[in-house]
Amino acid sequence: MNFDPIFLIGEFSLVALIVILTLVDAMRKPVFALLGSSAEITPDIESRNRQATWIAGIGLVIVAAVYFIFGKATSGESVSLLHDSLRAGGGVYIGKLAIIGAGILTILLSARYTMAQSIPAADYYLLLCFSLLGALTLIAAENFLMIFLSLEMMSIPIYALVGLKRYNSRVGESAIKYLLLGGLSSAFLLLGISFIYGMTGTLVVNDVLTHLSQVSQTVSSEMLLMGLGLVFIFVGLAFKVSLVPFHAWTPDVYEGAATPVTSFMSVAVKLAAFAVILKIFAGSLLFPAFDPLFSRLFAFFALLTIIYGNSVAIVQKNVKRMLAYSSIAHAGYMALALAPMGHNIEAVQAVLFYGIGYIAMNMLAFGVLVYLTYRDKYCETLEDLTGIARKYPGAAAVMSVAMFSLGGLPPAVGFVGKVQIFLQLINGKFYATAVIALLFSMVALYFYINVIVVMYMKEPEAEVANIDKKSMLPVWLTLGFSTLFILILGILPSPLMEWSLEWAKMLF
Amino acid sequence: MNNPFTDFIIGSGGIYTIAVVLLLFTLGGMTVLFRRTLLHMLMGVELMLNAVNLSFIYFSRLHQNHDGQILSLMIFVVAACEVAVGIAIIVHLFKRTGTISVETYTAERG
Amino acid sequence: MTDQYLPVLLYILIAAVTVALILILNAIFGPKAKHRKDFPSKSTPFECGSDLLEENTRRVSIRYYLIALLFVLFDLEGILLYPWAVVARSLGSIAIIEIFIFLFFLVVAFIFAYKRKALDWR
Repeated sequence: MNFDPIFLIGEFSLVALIVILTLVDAMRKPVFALLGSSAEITPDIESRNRQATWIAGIGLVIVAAVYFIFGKATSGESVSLLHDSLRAGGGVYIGKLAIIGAGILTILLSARYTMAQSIPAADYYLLLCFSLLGALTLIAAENFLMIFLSLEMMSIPIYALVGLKRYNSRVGESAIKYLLLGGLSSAFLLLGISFIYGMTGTLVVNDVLTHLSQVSQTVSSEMLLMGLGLVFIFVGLAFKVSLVPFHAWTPDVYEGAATPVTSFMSVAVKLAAFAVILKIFAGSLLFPAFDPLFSRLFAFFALLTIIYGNSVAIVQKNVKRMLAYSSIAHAGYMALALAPMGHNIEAVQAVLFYGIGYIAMNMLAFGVLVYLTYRDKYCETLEDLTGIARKYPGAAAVMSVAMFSLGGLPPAVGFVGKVQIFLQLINGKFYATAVIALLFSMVALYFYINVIVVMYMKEPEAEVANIDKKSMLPVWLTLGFSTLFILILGILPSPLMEWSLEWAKMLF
Repeated sequence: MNNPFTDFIIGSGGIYTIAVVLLLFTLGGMTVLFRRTLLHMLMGVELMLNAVNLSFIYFSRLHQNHDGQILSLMIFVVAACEVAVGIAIIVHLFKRTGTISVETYTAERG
Repeated sequence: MTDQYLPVLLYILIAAVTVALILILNAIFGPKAKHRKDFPSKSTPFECGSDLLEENTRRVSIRYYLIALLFVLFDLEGILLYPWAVVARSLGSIAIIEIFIFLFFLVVAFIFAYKRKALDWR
């Protein structure tokens, strides 16, 4: 068998970390009696949480280091592994590092959050690692079987993670809502896959694409069934990245989940799902039969998403909810780059650039919210942010950086990303679409700037709480790294452009 | 290119299988959307996944390769995982509110 | 093509006629009752046979959910072993190694559940 384990070194080390974390935690007394109520917390939860946090944090850094060092050797050319189910090596190296990086930032954010909220940390990190593993295999998946399995491995732990938050009575509702709609979406994805499989007789993505590119343009039952299959796949994936008609779960789930989980969900899951969309819809081959249809679909849904996300975000009083709608809008921007359906590498690169930049921006914005959260006092509304610049100038400053980047203002990476996406639209002669999208990203500036205004220009209504600054070191690591990432790559974007180009080559 | 399978599917009764699949799938979807009990909604999702299973197995037999059958086994596994997590959340909700009717949980809107 | 389904149609017809016949004969020859309460045994689940020992609609303890879940875990393991068993002989020793890696992860998960006292029946 042509199987070289070095190509999957990242996944293997992550699996080893999961096994270690499971066994170490299993050897101690249970924190909760299973299905128990909150009264049954054992007193040593803090030491256990600290242990689990250290293992998960250091372990994931080791995974990243191992992959960075040993995986580097594989970054030359890509190979297909395990009978065309995974593609490893090549540019996917960049993507996996970005996803693992998002995981590390999430764990740094969670370190104090789980402690302060008495979330059982071992369960939390286990679920997070499972989801990370799913995301890693998803961006490398080469086969519809693998795409489906990885997508579910990424999503199902998140359903459980959403339900893990405490001190909030509504968290169960958002978890079950996410689960039911997620199940619905994967059923649609599978129906699409089954149609495509029925028509082509293969599950390997590249073979399917070759078949699709040869479908004649005349209307036939074959074209109908294949088109239906592709549309169903599009619907299933649009649920995951929350394009507008399929966004219903997003605000509730983002608001209901623990803030670090929300940040992980909004960046890693979205980026991985977009990698699949790019692979299937923006791949190297032209589909004369389907391109006009999907050009319209992408333009329509992306525009709808941008308009809806940005205009509803304006009226939100809750910052997390506002960021949820802004995350919907950003999914719209990323999908917009695909509207010309040119199958050129620049469009794919623009989306991946935006996706990687978005990791840093959203981590920063949610990181500040984590920073200001303590025990049962969630920092979620605009009132909680009012006038924090006096007491926490650092947090206010990095929040401003995040808002600038999300709004797409010049010195940040978000600006470069938006410019690239609009360039794609102009190259594809989608002038009207570009103008409308630009108009609504101006509208979006209002609520991003509003956060900065509230932080700096208003007096706090209530006493701003004291925060133990020593325990905040991990959060500061995340904030500092993300800020540097945004500013440096905002001013000198060429390295990130090269990385995303390398990743984009993989999808071709 | 003329796909030989298309004629076969449309020609010899394959259309009935697709019809049954779509019928079951729609029934499941309706259950998820219109039932007002969480457990029933979960069952609806399962029904949809099983409808897809049927179509995979039919196409697998049609093409004489086993990819579809393996995928349908994987769907079983994933469906079980989803139900495990789903029922855990439903149990949690039931313990908290004493009901699993959806009307109770419409607090979150906006 | 439809010819071969003729026996099925015949079977359905015979079944329907038999049921209808029994009900009609019963109505003609059986004892006539004005009210259902004249024959209290008519309203029990089993007209002839022993009484129920307990209600069958009582709730099952929620701990049963965990047991059922662990059952499903190994049930699905069984499903996944079937396709392996089909090709195991032709793959040779690598198949044995692979299936033991697979089982190893299940055992790790099982240890986790066991140590969490998922199997304690209190």
